[in-house]
Amino acid sequence: MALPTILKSEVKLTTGSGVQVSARELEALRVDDATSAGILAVLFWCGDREVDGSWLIVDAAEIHEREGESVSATRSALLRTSRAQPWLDGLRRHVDRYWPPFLDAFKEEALRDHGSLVEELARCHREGLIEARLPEHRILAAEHRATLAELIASHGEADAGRILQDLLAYLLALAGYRKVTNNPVGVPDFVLSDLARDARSGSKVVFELTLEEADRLLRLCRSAGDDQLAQAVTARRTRLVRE
Amino acid sequence: MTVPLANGERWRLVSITVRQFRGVAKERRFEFNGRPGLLHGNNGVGKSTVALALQWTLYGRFPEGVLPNTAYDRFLSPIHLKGKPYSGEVVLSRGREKLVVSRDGPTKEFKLQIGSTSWSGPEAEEKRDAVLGLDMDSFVRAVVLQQSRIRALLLDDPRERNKALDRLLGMDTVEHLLDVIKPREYAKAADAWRAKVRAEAQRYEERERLLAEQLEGAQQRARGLKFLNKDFNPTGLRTRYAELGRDLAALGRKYGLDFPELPPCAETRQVGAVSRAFQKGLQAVRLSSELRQRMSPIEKSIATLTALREGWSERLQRRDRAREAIENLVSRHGEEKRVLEGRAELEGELGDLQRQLKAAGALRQLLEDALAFVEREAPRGCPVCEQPLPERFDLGPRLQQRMESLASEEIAKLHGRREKAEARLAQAVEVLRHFKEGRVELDECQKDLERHRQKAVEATGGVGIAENKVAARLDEALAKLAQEREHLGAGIAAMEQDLEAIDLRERALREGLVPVVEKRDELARHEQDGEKAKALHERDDGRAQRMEALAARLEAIRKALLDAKQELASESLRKAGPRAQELYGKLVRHPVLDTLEIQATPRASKVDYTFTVSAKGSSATARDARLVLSDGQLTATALALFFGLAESAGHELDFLYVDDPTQNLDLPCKEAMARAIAELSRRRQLVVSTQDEDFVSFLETAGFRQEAVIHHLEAWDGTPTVHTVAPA
Repeated sequence: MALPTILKSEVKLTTGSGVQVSARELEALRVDDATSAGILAVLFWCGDREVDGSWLIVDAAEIHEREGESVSATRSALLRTSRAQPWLDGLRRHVDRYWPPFLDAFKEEALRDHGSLVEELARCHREGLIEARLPEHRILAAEHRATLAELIASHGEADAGRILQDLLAYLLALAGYRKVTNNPVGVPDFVLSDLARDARSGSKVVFELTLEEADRLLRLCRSAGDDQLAQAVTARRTRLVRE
Repeated sequence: MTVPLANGERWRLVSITVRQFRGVAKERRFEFNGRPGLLHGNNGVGKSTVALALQWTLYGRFPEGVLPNTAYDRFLSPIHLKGKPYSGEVVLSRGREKLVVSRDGPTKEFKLQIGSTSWSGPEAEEKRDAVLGLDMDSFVRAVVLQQSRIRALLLDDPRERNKALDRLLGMDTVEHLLDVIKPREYAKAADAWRAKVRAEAQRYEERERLLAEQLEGAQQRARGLKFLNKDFNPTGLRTRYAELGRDLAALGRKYGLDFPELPPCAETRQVGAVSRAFQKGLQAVRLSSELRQRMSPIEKSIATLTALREGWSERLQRRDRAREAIENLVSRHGEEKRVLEGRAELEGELGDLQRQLKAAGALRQLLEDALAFVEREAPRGCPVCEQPLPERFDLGPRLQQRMESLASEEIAKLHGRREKAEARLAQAVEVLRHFKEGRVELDECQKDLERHRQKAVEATGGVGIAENKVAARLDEALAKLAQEREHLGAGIAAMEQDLEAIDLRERALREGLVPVVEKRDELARHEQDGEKAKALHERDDGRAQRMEALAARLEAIRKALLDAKQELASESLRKAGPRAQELYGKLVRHPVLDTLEIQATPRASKVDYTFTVSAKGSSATARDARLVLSDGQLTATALALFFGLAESAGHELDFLYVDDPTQNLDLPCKEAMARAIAELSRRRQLVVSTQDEDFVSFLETAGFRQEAVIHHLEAWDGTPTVHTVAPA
C-alpha cells in the first residue's frame, strides 16, 4: 500500500445527499508535491443503509470549483469521482477495513466528550497502542451503525462531525503516519505527515505462520527482550484472529 | 380452341382440371381459355370445388385456420369415393407461353411445366412463385375473393375487423411479428426481478430489525446482571470466562486445592464444555477442600462419642433395672438363701405326708382285706391276733366304719396338707427361678456396661474411667469436638459463600452474557447472509437492466414494424383508393355519403383501419361507414375495396376469381355489381362463381356473358353435370 507522504484532509459529516465544500477548504487541500495528497472525506448519514457509516474519500485536486465559489457535490458524483481515483484505493481499503473496529475501540471516549477522546487518541498514537486496542472480534454492521447513531444523537451533527474528524485523522495515521496535526478551527481539518518508511515504500516481507508458530515467535521475542518485535507480532496476530 | 388473349403480358387462366376431387368423382375439366368465366348453379352442385381445386393445385394448402384439425386427404378426396387418389391440373397462358401446374394428392407430387421445360417438387414451388410473382397468401388475398373474407370486414369487434383488413392488405405477417414481439413482457420481467430484490431486501431488514431488538433485550438482561457494553462480544465473553477461571483457581488455592485452569471460551459453542469444567472444579473445592478434610474426622468422632454417650445411659439404666428387680424379689420373698431353705423344708414336709398317705393306704387295704375275710369267714376270733372276740361282737360293721373314717377324713386331711405343701413348693421354685434369671440379667448388663466403659476409655483417650465419671468424660469430649466443629463449620460456610458467589457469576455468564453473544453471532450470520444476498441482488439487478434494455430494443423494433405496417398499408390503400372509391360509388350509390375513404391510422401499439364515408369528401360530414351504411352497403363497400386492392396488386396473374359476390346485396346493388364486373372483365380475366340467378341475369344484361365461358352446373350426382357455353 503506497501512501501519500503528506496527507491533508477535509472531513464532512452529512445527513443529506451531498456536501458543500468552500473554496477556502479546497484551497487548503491543494498540494504542490506529487507524492502528497489533499483529500475530501465524507461520512454520509442519510438513511441509506448501503452508504451510511462508511467514508467516501476523493482526491480534492479533482474537485473543480469556479473562482472563489463553494462546490456542491452529491454522493453519486463523489462516488463517480472516487472510482476514477485508483491511486487512493490503498487508503480507502485501509479505512474500510479498520474504521468499524477503530470506532468501536474509542467508542466510550467518543461518547463521553471530545476532549477526552482527543487526549486518548493522541496518547495511544504516541505510545503505539492503537492497533493493540482494536477489538479482536469483527464489528457487525448493525453495531457500527448503532454506535454512529448514538454518537450523532448524543453530540449533535456539528460536534459529532468534529469527533469523527479526529477519529479519521488517527485512523489514517494508523496506516503509517507518525505526525498528526489537527486544526480544530482552521483548514484543512488535519494534516498527516512523517510517513513511516515501510508504509511509504509499501515494501514489507510477508510470510505465513500458524497461530501456534506466531505464539512461539511472540514468546521467543519476549524472552529475547525484543519488545518492539513482540508488539508488532501481537498486533498482526490480533488482526489475523479478527479477520 | 384458340386462346384469345386480351393481355399478353400476364398469365390468364386457361383451364382447371379436377380428378376425383371433392365433389367430382371422376374427371372434369373447366375451360376458360383466358376469357371471363361464369360458374353458376344451385347450392351443392360443385362450384366451390372448382375454386378449391384451383387453390390446392397451385399451392397444395389453404390459409391458416381454413381447415383446422382436418386432414387434407379426408377433405379433398371424392365425397362418394373416400380414399381414391385425387389430383388437379391448372393451365395458364401468357401470350403463346403455356404454364401447366399439376398436383397429385396421395403422392404429393407437384409439377410445373413451361413449354418443354418442367420442374417438380420444391424447385417447381420456387419456380411457380417466381413466375406468378406471388405466394399463397398473396394469391388468396389478391386473386380469390371469397365471401368469408369480405364478411370479416363487417364484424363488430374492431380487433377481428382489423385482422381481416390485415389479411386483405397482406399485413398479417407484420401483425404476427407484432404479436410475437412483446416488450412489455421483458419490462414486466425487469419489474419482477427488481420487486424480488426489494422484497428480499425488505425481509432482510425486517429480520435484522428483529434480531437487533432481540439483541437489545438480551443486552438489557445482561446489564441487569452487571455486565458492561464492552462485554457484549466474543472478546468480552472470552475475557469474562478467563477471569472466572482465574478466580476459581484462586479459590481452589485458598481452600488448599491445586486447581487446573478452565479451557478458554472464545465462542459460545465452547460454553458447555467450559461450564462443565467449572462445575467440576466447584465440586472439587466443595468436597475436597482442607476444611472438609479436617471436618470429616471430627464429624466421625462426634458421631462415635454421641453413640457411646447415648449407649452408656441406656446400658446403665438397663443394669439398674436388673438390680432393682432382684431387690424387689428380696423385699417380697426375702433373701434367696432363705427361700432355698424354705423350699428344703417344704420338700421334707411333702415326704412325710407322702409316707403318711402310704401308711393310711396300707391300713385301709388291711381293713378291706379284713372286712372281706370277716364277711367271708365270720370268724370268732380276731383274724390277726387270733384272740376270741366278745359275744355279739360284730366285727364286720366295725371294720367297715373304721375303713370309712380312715378314707374320708384322715386320708382327705393328708391330701389337703400335701396339696398346700406342693403349692408353696411351686411358688418357692418360681421365686428361685426369678432370682436366677435376675442374676443372669444383672450379670449380662454389668458385663455390657463394662465393655462400653472400655470403649469410652478408648474414645476419650484415657487409661480408665470410673463408672460414675464415664458420662461426664464423654460429655466433656463431645463439647470439645463440637466447639472444634463449629469453628470449622464457620470456615466451610465462608467457603460455601465463596463458591456460591462464583457459581452465581458463572450462571450470570451463561444466562446473561452468553445469550447476548449468541444473539450477536446470529446477527453476524445474518449479516454474512446479507452480503451473499447482496451479491445475488446485484446479479438480479443486472438481469433487470438487461431485461429493460431488451424491452427498449423490442419496443423500438415494434415501433419500426408499426411504422412500416402503417406505411405499407397506407400505400396499398392509396393505390387501391381511387378504384375502390369508383366502385363504392357504383355499387353503393349512396345519395348523400358518396365518398369512401379508408385509412390506416397509427396508434400507440397498433394500426387501426377506418372506413369513413362523407358527402363529397367534406370532413364535416365524415362518418364511420359502419354506423351509417346497411349490411348490404357495407358488403358492397368491402367488395369495392377488394376489387380496388386486387386490381392494384403487383403480380403476374391477370385474372380474379370471385366466389359468390352478391350475398346481402339488394337487386340494384347486384345489378351495379354485374355492371362493375362486366366492366372489369374487359380489362382482365374475371371468373365469377354464383348461385344467384338474378345476378346471372344482370351479368347477361351487362354484357358479361357475350365474352365469357359459361359453365352451368345443373345437377350433381357424385360429379356435377355441367353445361358449358363458350363464345364462338
